[in-house]
Amino acid sequence: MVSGGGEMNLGDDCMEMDSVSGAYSASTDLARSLASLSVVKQERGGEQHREKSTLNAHHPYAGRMDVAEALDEALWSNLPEHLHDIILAFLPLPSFFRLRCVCKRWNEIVNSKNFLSICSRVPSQGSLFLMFADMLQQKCAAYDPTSQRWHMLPPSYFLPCPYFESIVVVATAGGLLCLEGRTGSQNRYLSVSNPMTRTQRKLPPMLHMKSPYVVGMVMDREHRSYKILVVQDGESLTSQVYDSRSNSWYLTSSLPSRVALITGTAFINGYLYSMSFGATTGVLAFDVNKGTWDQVKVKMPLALICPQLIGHRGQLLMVGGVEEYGSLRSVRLWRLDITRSEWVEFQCMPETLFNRLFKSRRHQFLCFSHGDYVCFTESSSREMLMYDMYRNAWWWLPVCNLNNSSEARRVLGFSFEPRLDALV
Amino acid sequence: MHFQGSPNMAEKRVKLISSDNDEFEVDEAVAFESETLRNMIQDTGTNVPISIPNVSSDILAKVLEYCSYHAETMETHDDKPPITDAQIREWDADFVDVHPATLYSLILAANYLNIKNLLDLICQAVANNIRGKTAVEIRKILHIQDDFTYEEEMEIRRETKWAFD
Repeated sequence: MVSGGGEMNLGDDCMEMDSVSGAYSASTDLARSLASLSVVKQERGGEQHREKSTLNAHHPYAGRMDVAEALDEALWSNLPEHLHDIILAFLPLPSFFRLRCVCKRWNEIVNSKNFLSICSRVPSQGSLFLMFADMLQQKCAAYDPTSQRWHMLPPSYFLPCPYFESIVVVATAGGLLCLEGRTGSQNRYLSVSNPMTRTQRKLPPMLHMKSPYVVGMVMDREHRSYKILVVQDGESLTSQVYDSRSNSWYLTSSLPSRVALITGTAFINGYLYSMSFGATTGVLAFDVNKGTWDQVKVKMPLALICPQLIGHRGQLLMVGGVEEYGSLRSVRLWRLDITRSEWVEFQCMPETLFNRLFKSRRHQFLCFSHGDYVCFTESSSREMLMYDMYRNAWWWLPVCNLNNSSEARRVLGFSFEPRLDALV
Repeated sequence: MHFQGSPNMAEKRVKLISSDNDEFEVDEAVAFESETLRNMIQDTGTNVPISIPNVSSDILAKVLEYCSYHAETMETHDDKPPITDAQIREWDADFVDVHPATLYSLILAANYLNIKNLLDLICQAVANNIRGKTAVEIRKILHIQDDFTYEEEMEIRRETKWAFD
């Protein structure tokens, strides 16, 4: 997901959002969904003290004995084969790929329908932040915040086409990437890929629009299907949706306002939230099932730049910079408080970190988010800062050996959850 | 041995007999966490004790502790706040924090009794532990035959090189 100053899509002339002034009332469904957001928030307060103690949930044996070593080998060797499969499905993906060379069965297990259905029971297989590609070395630098390591993946995993200068990742959801490519000057096409299984689907041409752009993508894990939202701004905001189940596009209702959207969305409780730009900045909610738009009534912070929405554990959050005299002064995180119709600040990038990230320029920044993590970078700086929202921890990404090297370096800047079971 | 699994007068009780002939009595809802027991109860009813010949009493007690807690999380009480997902995760993490030999017996019991969530929980715990192991170590632990030629193995290692960095 990409955001930042360069990514906004404004219409032709100057924008006017004529009806922002309180005339919007959220529809009942939206109000209900938002109300449940604030419930989640209230519950969270009570969960704070527990959060620390569940930190080790991923590592129940942290600090204890080693299962494999403490166990009698003879015992383990009797484990039925189909239980191997479940254990394999629960491995982090780099470990899974490392262990493919154990035997032929393990190497080919990704092709087994039964194995993929076990994988779909795994709640999360982690996050990967794809930061840049080096075309000479044929490597993409992907940071895994869980293991805090860089992985150097072949670009062909992500950009499955020899001419990939003309392909960009425009949205990600549930293990899939939505790619936009160009053949010739006018021919744009969209495709969807799962980089982990290296499968791809080219989407049928979208319905005619003058200047359409992809806003977001939503995965329906239960039905193993996905939808992609494309909009066109202008006098009004018109939109169309691709549904993988029917493999076709359909028009949805439009919003009669002059607004443009920033790519980078948050999906919560059936709504795809995006940031809108016009005379003022605001938040729009798209009901994915009904195909309807609503404007979320919320007062935006003053002097906000580079805003980006984040869906985090059922809550709508926003990252953004606060400007003063044309210069970036701080980077903050807010949580939507729907009952008060405002953003409540809950975190600010510590000053020492801010000063180091914005050493040379205090202008714009990029941020990418997935799961509990938000990664910040500034275009003229090679430094990258990671924030873990759940554990409230900040750290600098270690230097990656592609980072300073070549001129073939290309910034990718997207994050996704690698999954074996996501079907294109 | 008598196992107290959230007694509820309105509900049917089920008698279970472990491999070492201990008898356990639980609510039907607790037993229903197991697909295997559910099928057996639906076939034979709750009057006849069900014998579980390949699960010992200490392991069966542990399995029923799991089933009992998870059956309880499904219930709603007016006087108690519902159990949150975070609480369940914490309870589960404590539950699998046991000696590896116990874990091994549990994995087989969960498999036989067909308790999918328990099986997933244990497999996740084992996966966390073997995540750093090499292919050679895994083959040794699980007694898996290396059936690749040298060239085939090198080819796979080339393909998955990124995961070894």
